Amino acid sequence: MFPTQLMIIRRSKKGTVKSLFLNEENDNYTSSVIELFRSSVGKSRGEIEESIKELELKSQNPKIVRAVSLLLFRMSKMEPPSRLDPLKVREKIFSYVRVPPVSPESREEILRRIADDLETTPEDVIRGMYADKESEQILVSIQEIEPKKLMKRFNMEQVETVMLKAVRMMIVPGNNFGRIIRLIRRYGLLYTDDGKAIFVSGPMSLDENVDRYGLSFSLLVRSLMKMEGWSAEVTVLLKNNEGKKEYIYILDHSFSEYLNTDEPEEQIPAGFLLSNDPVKLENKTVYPDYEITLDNRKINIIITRPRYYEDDLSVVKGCRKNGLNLEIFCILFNKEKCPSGAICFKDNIDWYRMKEYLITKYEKKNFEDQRNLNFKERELDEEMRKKIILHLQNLYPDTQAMLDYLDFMGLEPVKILNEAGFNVRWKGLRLIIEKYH
Amino acid sequence: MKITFSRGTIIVDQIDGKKPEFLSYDERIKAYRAPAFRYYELKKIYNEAEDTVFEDKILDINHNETLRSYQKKAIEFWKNNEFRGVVVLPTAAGKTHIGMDAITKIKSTTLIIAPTIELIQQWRDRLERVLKIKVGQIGGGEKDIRDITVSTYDSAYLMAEDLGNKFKFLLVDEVHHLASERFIEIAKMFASPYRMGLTATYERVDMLHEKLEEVMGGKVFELGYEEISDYISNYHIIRIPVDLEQEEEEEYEKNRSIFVSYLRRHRITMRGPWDFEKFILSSWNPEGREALIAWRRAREIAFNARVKVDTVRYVLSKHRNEKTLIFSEDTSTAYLISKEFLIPCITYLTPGPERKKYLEMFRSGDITVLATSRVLDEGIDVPDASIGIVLSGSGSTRQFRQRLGRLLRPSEGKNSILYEIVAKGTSEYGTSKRRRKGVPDSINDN
Repeated sequence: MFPTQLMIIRRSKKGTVKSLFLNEENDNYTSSVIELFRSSVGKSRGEIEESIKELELKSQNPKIVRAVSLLLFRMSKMEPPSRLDPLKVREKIFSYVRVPPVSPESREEILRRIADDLETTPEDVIRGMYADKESEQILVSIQEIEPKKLMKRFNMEQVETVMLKAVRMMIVPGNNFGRIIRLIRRYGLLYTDDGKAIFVSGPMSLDENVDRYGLSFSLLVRSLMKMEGWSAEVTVLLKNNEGKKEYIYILDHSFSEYLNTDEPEEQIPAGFLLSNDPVKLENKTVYPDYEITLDNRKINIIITRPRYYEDDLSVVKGCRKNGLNLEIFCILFNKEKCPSGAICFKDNIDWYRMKEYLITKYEKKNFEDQRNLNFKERELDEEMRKKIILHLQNLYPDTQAMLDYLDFMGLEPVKILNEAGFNVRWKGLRLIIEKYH
Repeated sequence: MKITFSRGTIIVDQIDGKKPEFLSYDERIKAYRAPAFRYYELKKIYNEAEDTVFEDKILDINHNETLRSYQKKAIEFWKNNEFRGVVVLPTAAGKTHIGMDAITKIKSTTLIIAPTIELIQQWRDRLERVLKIKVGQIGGGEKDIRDITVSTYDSAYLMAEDLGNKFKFLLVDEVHHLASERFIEIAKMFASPYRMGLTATYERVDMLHEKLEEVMGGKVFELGYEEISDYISNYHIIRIPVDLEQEEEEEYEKNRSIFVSYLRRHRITMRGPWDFEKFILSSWNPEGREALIAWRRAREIAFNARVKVDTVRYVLSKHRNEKTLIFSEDTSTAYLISKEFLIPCITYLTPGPERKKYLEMFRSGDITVLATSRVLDEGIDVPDASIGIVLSGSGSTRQFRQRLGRLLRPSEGKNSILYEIVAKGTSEYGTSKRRRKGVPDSINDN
């Protein structure tokens, strides 16, 4: 996404906006900026910024130059101008200089002493003083990219930048109803639908036009661009001469031709399926994310985020009361805490553990036979088996070490731990190992 | 009837009787919803409803600080306004003391919001020292949430959906920022029934401060410099006009004329920040771009005139060993001064721990001069800083008053001086005149 000031749109009198896209007809923008970067290897970011300003003056649309340059900066390798650690240099200087030198001679003298301490020259000390500042970084190389691909990236980011200003959205989902609903939920937005169209907004959007959900709308559109047969009418809030005004921004699946949609599709392991069927309750329709069939029973899965866990859990409980198999898991990012009682995964779904949990819960009796995870159990002779059991007993009560050892040996833990005299049970996603009494 | 908090809003599952106007039926969740700040009004109407919004918590906190008479009065007025409202006092009048006293009056979970990392760190240090409790921090790379927590405006904005029901008391420092289009959402998305705003400069040119009435409880107490002159340091403002070098002057004139002719051709008159915003919006074409670059270049020349550095040299040698703050409008000047005089500089680019360290060094006297761009304009408390040098700045009176305020913390026999170094024959002269409007050149100068 670009900063808002680099959003390039055409406004119509009817109150609609369109993004300006780059194509073969205006590829001079991308090629001239690529050329500028190629010829700027060895220069500082500050110097390159100055050259970009010159190029802007020669261009019909300076915003395009600025935006394409931003993309190239992101793809560039930059290095600091000095080998000195700038933090250490500053620490050294400021701990030395209590009262600042006002004559050039005393300044030189101080710099010379510090340079001696750091085994370098006074010029290098000054160069290294703010070597971590962005504008001082030196361009080392740029990632090779075809102008056409760069144009598509530019176009995609233009769309996302407009979406940052979105306040609500109406989507005609085509055949993607369930998938789109799941995405809306995943990005923390709210919706209603009339069977044909989905009306999306955020919690605070009821009384006010707020653009604080723009990032969620933007991510939603990024995902939509990988689907076929949908269209959308987005209400965006943009500044004009009289303040902020609502505009209509139209999007549909055909835009993907001009956009970079290179991001890989979600990989789902064998056994799991993207859920296509909504679960209907008395007055509510729930759209699970995935499903799996175990022991001829379909289990629906909802993936949620800590913020929505409580709300989603109440839906799950409602479904369970109606005899539906619905499970809920939570994804955590950064340092987010797992909500109390939830089963959480860090950053991505751990399919292996999820399946193991589901098998334990839904197929307790046939646990060993039904496992269809990505490894086969090793064949063990009797002597080896005894050695392993003995080692496990020695490791106890360090249960993590026991699990690490079994993992290292490529062994399925429950069976061998049972044999070794341990009781194994699941608490959330944790395997609890206790000695039989 | 049940009242709950959900992502910056209050949800009421059903309504008995007439529906309050601010509550809307939300088809998406089949319940009633209102922005969280309406909780205070909802509680008055539905006092008997089942309420899961806040966890009740009483904190055992007290302080031994003595309040000045006007500070006590401010607290009294705020209490009488149902523990809501904004207190307007000049810089150095001890707003923090009022805030701390308010916290001990409420004795509940409190979030203190301030615009910069320096300010939240300052609040945190002071609260820990005075209340003798561990204070949490959100912002500046930290996310440590406790019963009493400090946060930057940015972090509070980003986390309002999650934090909106965690703090019963919202204490907002430099509250004039809260009125901005973006930050007003903080006030709306927090359910906190008790609120206090602190500022020296309540009124905004864009009049957005009027919005604070609804979300903070309006202005409840105000005093000016004249009324508290016994409690602030003596000061003088000295303007030092400097001549541009001939080469700089020519370059300045050339760029200024490109800019002015563009304005004339497009009939743009510069009467205020809005007109400038219009100019920026119109400048995304080659001609406009040239005018914008010329404006920047002319400004740069006026701000960074070579002779200004020599003038700083003169002022520093005149006030050797006195604690001095050097203010500039842009970061590049701050770095230039830092390199020239080998002094630390604090800009928005300086990482949190380094900022904290430099301020501690400055307070303890390990360094005597600190350069900064706009980040230290507000709130930072360095009691013994007595010299200020404004190398460049905007035309905003608020910024000027705030910068002056850095020097006004009283201490024994202190006489502060704020120097303004202004390039002669440039638009900077007019800017300086604008920002000084209504600010007396000296105080307590009998």
